[in-house]
Amino acid sequence: MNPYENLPNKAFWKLAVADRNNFEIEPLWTPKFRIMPADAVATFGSCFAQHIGNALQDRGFRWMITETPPAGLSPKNMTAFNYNVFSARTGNIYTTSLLRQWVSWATGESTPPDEVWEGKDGIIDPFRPRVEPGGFESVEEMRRSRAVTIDAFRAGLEKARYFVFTLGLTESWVNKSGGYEYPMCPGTVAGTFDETEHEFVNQDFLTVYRNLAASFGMIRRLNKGIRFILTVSPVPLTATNSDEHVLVATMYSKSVLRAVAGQFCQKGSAIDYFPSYEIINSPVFRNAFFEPNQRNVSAYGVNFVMDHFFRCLVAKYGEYAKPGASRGAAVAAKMSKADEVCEEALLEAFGGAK
Amino acid sequence: MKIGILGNSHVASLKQAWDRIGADHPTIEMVFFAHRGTQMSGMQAVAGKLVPDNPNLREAIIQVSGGRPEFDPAEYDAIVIYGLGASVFIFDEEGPYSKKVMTIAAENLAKNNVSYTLLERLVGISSKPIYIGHNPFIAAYGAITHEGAEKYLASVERLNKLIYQPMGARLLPQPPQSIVNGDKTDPIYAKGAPGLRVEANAQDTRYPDHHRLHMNDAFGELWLGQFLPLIETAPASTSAKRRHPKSRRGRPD
Repeated sequence: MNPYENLPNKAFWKLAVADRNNFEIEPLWTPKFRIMPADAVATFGSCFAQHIGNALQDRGFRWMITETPPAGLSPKNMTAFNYNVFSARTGNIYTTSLLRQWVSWATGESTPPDEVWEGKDGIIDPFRPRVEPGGFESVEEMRRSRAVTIDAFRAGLEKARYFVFTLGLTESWVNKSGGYEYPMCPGTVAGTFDETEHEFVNQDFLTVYRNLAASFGMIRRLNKGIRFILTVSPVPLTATNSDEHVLVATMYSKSVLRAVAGQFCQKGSAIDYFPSYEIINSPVFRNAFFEPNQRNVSAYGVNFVMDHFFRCLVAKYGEYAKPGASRGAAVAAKMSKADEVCEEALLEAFGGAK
Repeated sequence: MKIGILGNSHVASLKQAWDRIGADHPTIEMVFFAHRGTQMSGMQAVAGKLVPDNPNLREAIIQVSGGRPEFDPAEYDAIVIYGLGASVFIFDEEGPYSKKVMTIAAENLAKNNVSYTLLERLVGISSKPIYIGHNPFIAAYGAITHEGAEKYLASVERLNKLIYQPMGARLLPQPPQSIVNGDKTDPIYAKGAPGLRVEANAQDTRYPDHHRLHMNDAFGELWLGQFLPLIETAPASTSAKRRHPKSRRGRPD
């Protein structure tokens, strides 16, 4: 008798992987929570998080949008202006330190810095550089808009039953004297790079971990019952400033984020981890989910991942009263039409596109 | 003066009102062309006229207009496009949105409906003055405040400058005295709203009293009471010059 003798099939590579059709390898996730269609789910984080909100909505779940677009705005313009991309118009929150920064603004523990960027056609918010195409009309308008987003972000934290956060990057850019972080390196999509002020930081495990812990601690003070679902973005880095090859830098970054997510998940009953990163990146799936550039996840891949998410919920808790059945091709078609809003990808246009 | 009114179910309130007050305006003739919902999108521009592209729409047009199978702008001194999804975006400078996104949303809202589709088609075939009446605001439910309609009226003017004026058309506001809570219709105007009768031999119908989307003949009377003096004092020849790209030369009707 040994501990392996009574383990389920999923514990053995041969039974769970090698002997199975690649696309029937499941369940890769055992959910901790039974998410009900009426439960409010807030989604934030890196590019890949955008798909989670849409997938929830498409399947009849309650994706909580706390910053709504103006009436009449077309779906294309909603995306262009970053409405209904995340639960509030924060833009991508790539790092746990950026999450901590947003949460501290939302709770009032700190206030946003005064820094503004002047773009060619308008004022750019350094902390949401892509939410207003062309920029805002004035500094006042930009600050008012950001205040609306911070209030909406706070409302999301207060009202959500589930907070889904996708960890995206370890590489970050900070303002040395101000001690704050930008989502994008100044001088790329907007702003001016100043080597005396702007510093590159490739965060290590402890930094990522502590910032996530601090963020969750602040969020819990606002909403004791909130539960967290972490994912790691499977999307490789567009560019690295780490002096490593971008492939190696990607593996470092994702490995750190995956380790932090795992650590958190083991630690708390109110924190779960969904393996979208593994599903997209595992060699078992033979790169089937990437576009030809080997970076962007295809609509098929996104749909496969999200279908898996809902299948695992059903597998553990049973069918929903109004089952959110997979809409397969229809959902994939919709996603293929939707433009993903990924600021980081713009790095390619500002130095990486060689 | 002969006025052609194109619309959907919302037109019923104007029709009923006109049946009541028409005799007071002996110099004005009104002809209605309407079908329910979005079916008027089937009125296609053909040889200078709007022609139904399906038998069902053709029947409705004949029934509502009193025998006319198509709409010929040349027969009219002014044209009204009423309802058909036209909506007003209310600009709120103190609200949560940037000016840029409000402007784009206002354009998206104004253009994504059958009213605008028909406007584009008409502008391509006629130089007659065109007036737009938007869907009435939904009737207020619960508490009513007589909050001013200033933001709404300013928004109508802004939309005229932004969208309608360049097309030689004019968006008309809902009568301000019918507006409560800033952007709702006083519920007294929703009681007993008539349905649009498009079938021959159909009975008159009325929406139930709790219905909030369609307005009654009293509302129609208010609306016409605002519109008729405007049309009577503004001859067709003084209407705004049309500058729609598709109609640099309007049809010489």
